[in-house]
Amino acid sequence: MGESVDIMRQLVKMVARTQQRELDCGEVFAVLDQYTEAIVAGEDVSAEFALVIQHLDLCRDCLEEYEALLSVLQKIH
Amino acid sequence: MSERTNKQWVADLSAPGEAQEDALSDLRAIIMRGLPYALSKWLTPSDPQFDSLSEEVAQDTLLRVLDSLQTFEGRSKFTTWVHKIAVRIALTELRRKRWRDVSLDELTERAPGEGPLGILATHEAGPEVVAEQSDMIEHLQRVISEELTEKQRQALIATQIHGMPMEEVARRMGSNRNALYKLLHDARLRLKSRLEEEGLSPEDVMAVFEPG
Ligand SMILES: [Zn+2]
Repeated sequence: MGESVDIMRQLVKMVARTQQRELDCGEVFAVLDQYTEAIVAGEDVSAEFALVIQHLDLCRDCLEEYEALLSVLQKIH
Repeated sequence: MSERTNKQWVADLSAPGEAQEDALSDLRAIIMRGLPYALSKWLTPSDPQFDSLSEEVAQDTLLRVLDSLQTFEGRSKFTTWVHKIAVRIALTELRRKRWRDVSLDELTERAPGEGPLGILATHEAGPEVVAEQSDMIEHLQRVISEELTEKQRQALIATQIHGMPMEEVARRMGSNRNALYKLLHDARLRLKSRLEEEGLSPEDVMAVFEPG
């Protein structure tokens, strides 16, 4: 039952973050290299990449890919 | 290893010959150098799977790079673009291996008689749960069953509750990751507008679930 509460809470959070217009995973992948470089460079990405940030907040698969790419860039560039 | 500009990478890789072979060999080394970091959350280099996976990923990445060279728009460093492709190939393979033996039906169906809604449709009220929470859960379950299709519920359970990767869910549904994302997006939109119609804000719902 505590489990049901956790699941519903998580679900409602996702619903709250849902926007009419979202990028799909392919659209995020297309700019993921550019986005990750901007993050590494410490740029302010909030405006240009708002939709990417929103997608990464909702999509674990893309978030994992972003984090993996980020580790690479942080370590070897 | 020589440093190349984006233009040089593309030029060297564009036509068969010595320049292409040198570039491929340098690129392969760059991919192999990035993989331990890319995979650090999944495998350590001492893992017995690591070497064979890295070889396979490097090889597949080079082929993919040659295949899609004309789609590189130069908005990032060429090597970043290549690492991105390597990451996608590596994680796709790891996810496939990790979830190989899991069937979608097993994952999303509970005991016989409980139906395919699984956890989203059934719960037993424990003593720690106040009546208000129990009512809210029942209400949300009703909203879910009224607003979402069977497929949307199944995808939601598999990805959100069991953490199954979208590619894995999509493959089992005969779909693809983009289409599945859209299916889930549509599901979230439906739930959102239904709650809005009911005048129930996410904050109201969360307030019921917050402890204390
Ligand atoms: Zn995604």
